[in-house]
Amino acid sequence: MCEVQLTGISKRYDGVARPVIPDLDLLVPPRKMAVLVGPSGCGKSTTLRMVAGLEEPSGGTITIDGRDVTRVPPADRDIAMVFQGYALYPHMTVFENMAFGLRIKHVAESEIKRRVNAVGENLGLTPYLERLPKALSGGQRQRVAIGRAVVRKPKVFLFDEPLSNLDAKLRGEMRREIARIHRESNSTSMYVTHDQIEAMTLADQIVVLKDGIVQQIGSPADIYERPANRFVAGFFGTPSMNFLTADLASTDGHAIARGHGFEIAIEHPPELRPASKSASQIVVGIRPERLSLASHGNAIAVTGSVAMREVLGAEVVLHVESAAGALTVRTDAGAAPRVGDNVQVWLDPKSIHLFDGVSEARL
Amino acid sequence: MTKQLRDFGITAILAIVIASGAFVAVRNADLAEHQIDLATRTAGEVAAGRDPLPGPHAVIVGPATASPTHPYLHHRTLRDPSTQLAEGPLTIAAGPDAKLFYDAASRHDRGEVVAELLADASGRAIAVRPLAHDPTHVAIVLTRAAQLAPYPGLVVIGVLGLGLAFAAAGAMLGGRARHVGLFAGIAAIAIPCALWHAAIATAAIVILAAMVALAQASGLTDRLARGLRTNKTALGFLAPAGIAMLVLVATPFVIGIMLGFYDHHHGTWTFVGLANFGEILSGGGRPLDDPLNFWFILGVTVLWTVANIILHVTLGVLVAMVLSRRWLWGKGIFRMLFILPWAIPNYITALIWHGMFDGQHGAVNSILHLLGISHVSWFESWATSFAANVITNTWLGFPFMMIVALGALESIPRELYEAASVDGASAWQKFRHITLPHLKPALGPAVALGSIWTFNMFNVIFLVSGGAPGGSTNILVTDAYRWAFERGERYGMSAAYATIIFLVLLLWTVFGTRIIRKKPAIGDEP
Amino acid sequence: MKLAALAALAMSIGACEQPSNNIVLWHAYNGAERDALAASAATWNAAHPDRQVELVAVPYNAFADKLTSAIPGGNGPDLFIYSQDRIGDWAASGAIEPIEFYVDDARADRFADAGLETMTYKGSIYGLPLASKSLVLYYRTDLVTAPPTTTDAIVALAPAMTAKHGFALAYANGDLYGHAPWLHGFGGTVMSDDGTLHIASPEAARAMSFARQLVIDKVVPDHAEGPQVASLFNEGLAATVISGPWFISDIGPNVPYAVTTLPTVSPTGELAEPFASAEGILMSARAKDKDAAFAVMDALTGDVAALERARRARQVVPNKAIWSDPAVVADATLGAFRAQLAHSVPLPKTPAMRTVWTPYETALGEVLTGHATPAERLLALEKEVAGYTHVERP
Repeated sequence: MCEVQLTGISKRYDGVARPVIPDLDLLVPPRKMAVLVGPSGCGKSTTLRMVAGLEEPSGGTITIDGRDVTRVPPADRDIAMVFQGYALYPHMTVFENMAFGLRIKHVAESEIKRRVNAVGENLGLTPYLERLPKALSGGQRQRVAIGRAVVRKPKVFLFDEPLSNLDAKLRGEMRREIARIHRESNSTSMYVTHDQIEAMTLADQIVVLKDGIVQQIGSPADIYERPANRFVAGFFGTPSMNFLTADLASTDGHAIARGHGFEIAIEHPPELRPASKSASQIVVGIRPERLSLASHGNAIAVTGSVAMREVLGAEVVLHVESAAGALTVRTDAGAAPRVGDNVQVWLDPKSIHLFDGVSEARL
Repeated sequence: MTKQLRDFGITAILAIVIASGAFVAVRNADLAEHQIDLATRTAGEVAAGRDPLPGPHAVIVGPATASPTHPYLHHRTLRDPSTQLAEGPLTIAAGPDAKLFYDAASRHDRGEVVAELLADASGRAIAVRPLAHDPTHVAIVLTRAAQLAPYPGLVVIGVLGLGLAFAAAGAMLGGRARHVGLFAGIAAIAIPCALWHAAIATAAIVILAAMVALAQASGLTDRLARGLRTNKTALGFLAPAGIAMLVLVATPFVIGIMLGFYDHHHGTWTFVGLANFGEILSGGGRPLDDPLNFWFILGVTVLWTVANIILHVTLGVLVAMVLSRRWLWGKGIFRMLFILPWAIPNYITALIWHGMFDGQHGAVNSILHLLGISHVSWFESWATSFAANVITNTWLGFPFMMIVALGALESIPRELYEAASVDGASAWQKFRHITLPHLKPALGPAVALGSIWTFNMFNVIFLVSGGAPGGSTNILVTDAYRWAFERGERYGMSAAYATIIFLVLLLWTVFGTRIIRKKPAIGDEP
Repeated sequence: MKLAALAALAMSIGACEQPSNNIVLWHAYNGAERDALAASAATWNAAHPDRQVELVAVPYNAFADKLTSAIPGGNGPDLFIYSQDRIGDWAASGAIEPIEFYVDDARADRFADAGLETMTYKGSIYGLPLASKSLVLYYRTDLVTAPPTTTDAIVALAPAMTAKHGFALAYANGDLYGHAPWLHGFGGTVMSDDGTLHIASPEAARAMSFARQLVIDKVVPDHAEGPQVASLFNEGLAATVISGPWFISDIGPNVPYAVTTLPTVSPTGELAEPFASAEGILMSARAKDKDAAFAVMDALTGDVAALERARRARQVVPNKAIWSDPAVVADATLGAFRAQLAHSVPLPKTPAMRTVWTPYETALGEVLTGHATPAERLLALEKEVAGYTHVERP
């Protein structure tokens, strides 16, 4: 029942001409997890910290559950935050760490005990409750940090890159843990990460930020299938999407994207803005896994040679130099060519994304 | 066999050194005894009116008569008992030893018993006896320069050879005989010492022999030799520092502790055992509130140390917290300014503060006057005088704590404070639960170090209050200084004080600092 | 003693040091005093090429301690210049050599009796005097018309001086040396020659009360030290000053002043007598060639050298012949210094005196500021000093 709404939020620092966030509107629906994602310096952490109350916005309002909290101190916003560096109190035991916030709020000691024990149980921390943080592993520490947030039963959870200090294996485990906690706690969450996998797996709603400006808000499927612009398209997916420059030409009423060494007929040609002089400049995007080395259907072939080969196990990533430009191909490891081999790369016109060559927006 | 020779050779050198020392001491003591005896007996003969024994130079010196024009100036006469010539004035014209006779007679007149070797290393002895029939005149005898017995080189070579034979024989027999041979070989060098009645040297050599034999038996000598060989380079590098430590640290330390068992009076040292320590620890019969009572001074010293450390840490941490703010403009300049008191030699600072606390012309009183507080005579009551010392030393001491605290503060992750903000912690709670626990591991050693510096902070006490009023703000070191240099050169008392200070600090470093470090150090990494 | 001789014997074995024929003399003189001494030494050296005098300047602060430790070790000088107050210490510890043997009547005639007598201790003479120093009265001729001859005359200056926030008199009233004129003027002493303490006498108490009264009446500043005394005098805020010969160099170039002897203490009618200290050349007990060392002492304290010092360094020399020298006679300041010496008390030479200075200073400070009453404080002081003096142990 608790939504977080940011309206016209801006943030600028003294002495810095360009605002970190010029003007941001965002709505996180109740009980949803919104993941803010983007490259370093895109303003995602700043946004989260403004929601937490650790930074004050230069303009705009933040409401939580309908209440304007723009000028409310962090402790009174009914939020909990999990930090990248865990931020555990080093001289307190795990129990005391989790109990600290409750004690400050003067929750009854018996209640504290009950809640901390329950959360500890839930997170598998029961054997460690009397330990100091330095006697725990990184994953255990992050569990404590999450436990410390959960135990307070906040309306909103804020996660500030909580997994980036962990190794890859633990990260996956903790990701599922966070997803479970979010589900069980019934609260609204905001989660900041620069890792697209976390974003894809955790999010109900992904918010892609770049330079303080929202590029796209949507479900993981939306973001992947229908990226709003070239930036979003390139940000998601590993390896990232191939981009080939092309001219949009029309012959016989058919729209054709013509690049170096390839021509693709376009079924639903976008309406080109007449005002744009170079409107015919477009970018063709195609994900590496949609390229193949075998001919099929009405696929179009591009010839090139393999410059590099990265074996991922079952799959292999080939970097192919072609006349159209550098192409990354993700394919089965089985019959993959070797470096230096000439190959034909086939692309399916149905799988391509078209972007404006100048504005980079999706066409 | 080579190992046996090695062990024997090195130990024999030590034993010969001991034996030679014994020889010199015995020879000198014998000589001194003989010369003094000769002088005394001759003087007795002359005093009794008989002819002097042949050899020594005997004279009869007349009483000191005041000069008619200068009543404080005295003259004496001289007569040669053998020639029976008339008395003549005892002046420089009376011969090269005339001054010796004159001074000996003067000392005799002052009641000293003169029968001793001259201090000029000539080996001559002098003795004074009053004449039996005319006690105003004294017989003075000066013996001829003595010939020292030559160094007994043949004896040394002889015993060395004997010892070598024992050691070699032992080595040839092998087994346990090797150690017995070594012992017998070294102990042989003690034989001449025993003949000279040099008991200590004899015992020392025999003990040395036993120790070396045991060391050899347990393989210690071999290991030592191997260690020396393998670590030759390292030992070579260590040697200069080791020698310097020995000369500059170890030797004064040992001598200082030894002096505590002696009493010094006008250049003479008397062994008094634990009397100095007894006098100090019993308070010297002074009441407990007497500023000369050791326990009073110890109390002041402890109070001084505790007060300083509390102030240094508090002020240092406060300033560090202000300086660690990100928004503070000119942080670097402030940092440098606050370190300045530390960088200036502390006696200069102490002298400046002494001037500033001056009752009449001092800056402190001028400022207090502006604030409407009337004239404070800082050094005339205990509390203000003590406060002046503490203020000065706080000025000197807080920058160190500040630097330590600054380093620790900057290592605290900002996230911790943010987490606490989200938890709703107040500023005090943040300080109490985040800042303080992080400061502790850094401040602990700094406090341990600072407490030792402060405990012995001579300059501030000596130069600011100088112990005023009435010595009541002295701490142990300044009082130790005063015993040595202001209260009749009682170096023994001073040394005993220093030894006690050392023991107090030793106890503190061993046990006290454990209290400070009890809490485990905090680090994010296990 | 026996031990020391043994040690000396032991050291002589194998010690083959290069004997130097030079006579080494340590001194702490600066400026004109050093120049005058150096000139006399140069005269000696010109006449004795095989027996040179080597002057070594040693800082005054370290002088006594350095000597005390260097002489027994055989590293000290043959001769040194020091004031007489340590003679007792050094004579008792055998560090200095009695030289009475060398001093005949003709040599003694050279000096004023008081001069040579200060070099004696327990019936022996330990040095030849170079110069005497004592406190005298300086006054500003622009503020004081006639030299004050009584303390009342000085007190009478007070109202005019107080009116301009000044003082009639400034002197180092916090230490015993500065206080001594009153102590003696009231008939008190610190100790007798044998070291018996007379600190807590009624006379001493009256002298302290007198000093306290001067403070209460604002005749003198309540705690003055050397530099403050000088600045008060130079700024015209002190009409008179009691200080020693060293004060001359502190007086500003345009300050009109004159020097006279200390006044009589009005309550008793007795003269205020300062401590007189004399410095002389003393001989180390370890001097290599004592006859030669004495010859150097003799020459450096002779009339020729004395005239040099009196003229160049304005030293008050004890040599009688100098005082008929026209240049010396014409020096009124030097005359006043000399006149004062006739009414002064030699600084006690007993070793116990050295334990008195600091505690006495503390007691004075407390009395002058009204924190203690003289009679009680002096009793406590005497007890304190008695506690420092050596306790003979069996």
